[in-house]
Amino acid sequence: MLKTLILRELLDNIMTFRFAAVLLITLLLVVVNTVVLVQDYEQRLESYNDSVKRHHQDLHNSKTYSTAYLFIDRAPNPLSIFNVGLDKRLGNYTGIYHGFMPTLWDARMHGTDNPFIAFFSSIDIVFVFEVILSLMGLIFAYDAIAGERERGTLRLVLAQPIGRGQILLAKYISAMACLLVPLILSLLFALLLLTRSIPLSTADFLRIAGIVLTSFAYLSLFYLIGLLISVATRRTGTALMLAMFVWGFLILVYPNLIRATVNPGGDIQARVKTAQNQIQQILDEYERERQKFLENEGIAGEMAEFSKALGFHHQAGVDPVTLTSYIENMSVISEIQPDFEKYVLVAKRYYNFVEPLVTRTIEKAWRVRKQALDEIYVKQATTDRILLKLSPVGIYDTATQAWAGTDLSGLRDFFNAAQRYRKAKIDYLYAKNAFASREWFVADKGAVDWSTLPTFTFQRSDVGTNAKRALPDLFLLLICNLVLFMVIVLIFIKSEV
Amino acid sequence: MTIKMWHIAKRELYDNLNSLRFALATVLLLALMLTNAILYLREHPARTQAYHNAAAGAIKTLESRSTNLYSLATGGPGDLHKFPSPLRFCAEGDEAFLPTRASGANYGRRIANMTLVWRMFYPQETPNLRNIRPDFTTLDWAFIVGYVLSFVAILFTFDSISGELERGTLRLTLANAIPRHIVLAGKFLGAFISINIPFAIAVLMNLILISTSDAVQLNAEVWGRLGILYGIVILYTCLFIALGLLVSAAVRESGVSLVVLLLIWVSFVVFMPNTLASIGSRTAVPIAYEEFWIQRMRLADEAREAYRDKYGDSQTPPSVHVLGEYVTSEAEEYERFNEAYLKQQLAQGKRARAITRISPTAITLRLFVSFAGTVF
Repeated sequence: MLKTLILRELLDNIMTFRFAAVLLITLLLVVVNTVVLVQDYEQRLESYNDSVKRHHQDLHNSKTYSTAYLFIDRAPNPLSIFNVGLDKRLGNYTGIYHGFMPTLWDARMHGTDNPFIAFFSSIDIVFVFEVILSLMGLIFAYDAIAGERERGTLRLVLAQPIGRGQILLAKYISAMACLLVPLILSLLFALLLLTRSIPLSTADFLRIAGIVLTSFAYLSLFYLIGLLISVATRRTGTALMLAMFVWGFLILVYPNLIRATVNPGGDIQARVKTAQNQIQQILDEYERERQKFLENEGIAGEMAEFSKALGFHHQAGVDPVTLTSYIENMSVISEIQPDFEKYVLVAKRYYNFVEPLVTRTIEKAWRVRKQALDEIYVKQATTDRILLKLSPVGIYDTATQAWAGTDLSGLRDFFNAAQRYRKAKIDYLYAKNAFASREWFVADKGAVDWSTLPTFTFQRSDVGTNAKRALPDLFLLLICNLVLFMVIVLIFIKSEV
Repeated sequence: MTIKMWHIAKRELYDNLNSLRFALATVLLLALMLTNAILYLREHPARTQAYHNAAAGAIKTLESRSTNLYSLATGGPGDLHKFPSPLRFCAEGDEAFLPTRASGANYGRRIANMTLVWRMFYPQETPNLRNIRPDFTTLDWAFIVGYVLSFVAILFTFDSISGELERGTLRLTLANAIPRHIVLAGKFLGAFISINIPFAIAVLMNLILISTSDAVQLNAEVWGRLGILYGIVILYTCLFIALGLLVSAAVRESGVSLVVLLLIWVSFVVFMPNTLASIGSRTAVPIAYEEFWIQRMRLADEAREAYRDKYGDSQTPPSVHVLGEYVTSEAEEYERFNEAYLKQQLAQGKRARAITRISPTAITLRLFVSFAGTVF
């Protein structure tokens, strides 16, 4: 009996104009946008490759350790085609230097970043789905029960010996089977276009499978919202209006209303100010120790000659907005001064003492800074995300970002790797005894050989980690589905025909 | 005839006033406009304050440099800041993405013991670089009108003909010897008024909130601009009402009419303005900023090499004239190069905007940004 019902519904759904129209528009939008997105990705990849080359050259042009320009680049994520998340927005290269802690707040951007086209938002595949799948679900559902009630066919169906729950189940299964056609077909087209120019690994396919699964849950949720409206209203006209306004609110309005929420971090400026003062104290303490060392060395009296001979460039500071704290301590020697040799031994001792101190100071400052940034920016972003989850779009967006690895955690993976690489570089410098070496500040007896420096590699987190980050939201979607279905069954059983 | 038309419009209006969609549209628009006003009142004073602080700082720099002509010529006038548009609640536009200042400064190069003269440049900034919040569309008037109001217009008109056809009331109306075009005009008018009532209420509340607040002052010019913007809103809604009537008259079932209208709406309003812009911007890609930067450095190096080849590397220049000539030509070359790059970027922006004009929403958004003064 259930099978007959499903078949009837399936036929009813497929032989409609709306099915053909929805199929066509989904395919069109997904294909057009995928072509654009693939081109965009290729351009970003090219820019990344150029940048890597340039930064490699920069490093090998650095003759001394203290003036070394070491930059690492973040490759564009191929899955940003599905959900771009923060992949295109946050910085994609950062410096690696012991007097500075690389974080996503200091990273900079290479590549064509024209502010005159920043006004236009980039449309990824998930965005197309967010808009189209939800509309599709509602359009297919709004008259499922209300329509039959109006036409009087519901009574006929109910006169048969089948439970009301089964009728709903039949409607649900057949509509979903129908709705999956445009989803699957358009995804197949997108993948076809994608794999032609972008090589995807098995892990990537698994992540895409996760995105598809989440899309199912999202689509089903909107179908159920439509069904709920259809069950609860007596007329199709009312059901349609309600469905459309619910859509407008959930998709168009609600996600943007969240911008109006107040930062939960409280008074930002005061918080930044206190953190800035704390960091400044740490830097001051460093400066005192440095001066003490110079005095002990008996060099404080002839500081002017010393710094002239060594081409000193010393700068320490903390940015009042991002709290970026850095200590630059280097020698820029363009020509050797006559009294240079006199200072070489002191300079070696100086750098050997100061550079480890710089490293420690910056790490200490970072602990203060991390806490402040977490309280100011991360907390707000997290609260936004939680509020966003009151709309299914928010859950879907967060989950697909997590699958694609373009969410905040995914981006932080890169910056954590950058920090580990900084550590590795410092270890390398220790191993080479670089701080106490002549090559630290002058290249007159041979330039630094950079070939043994460990290279930076970054692998995106494995599928397991992606799944761990995405599954809570996917479960949330599934639970919403389940609860909604039970509510619908309850209302339908209680309602008069 | 106008009386009959008015009758139809009035009937249409009464039908709408009692309907669910009217109530929902009123609530939705009101909520949006109030949020818009609250956000604006919260953010705008801070923006103006930031501007005033920056401008005061810039004036101080200028004063300190204008003690003598030499320091002014080498240091330059400093930063020039753009005053934040008071109409930013209408359209945030490009203001959110573009640097709000141009710099007239020096980057510290020297030749023959002399600092070079200042030059003008437009800094390359990415204001969203550190933004880790989710993607938001700004709830400005442009969004409310472009997306939400057009959506509401469709919901008000999709069944205006096909619905009556289904219920059979259209025959009755036409049997009363009313010409069809009068019926159509009446329906148009009715829909127009019923959409504009909730919108006007929402706009009124929005403006009352903003204009009575002490935080911002709106002058006569701003009110004039607001009037023009309202005119644009009227034209834009008329377009979508006409579209709704067209599809509703061409299709027999209102269900089908709605699906057709929604798909048109989704393509023209949601996707076209952005997708076409990405396609258009790809036809005029400027060189990468780093590449530009390297080229500019090379240019400056070449100029210096040429000078050194000619006059040697002595600390004392052969004559003030020679040095002066070099210094001005170098600064001019630098500015010319900057401008050429800016032109490339602008050309891409223009290309992206030109192609999106297929969509009336993109045109309306552009008009909003232009009249709100937040355009580049």
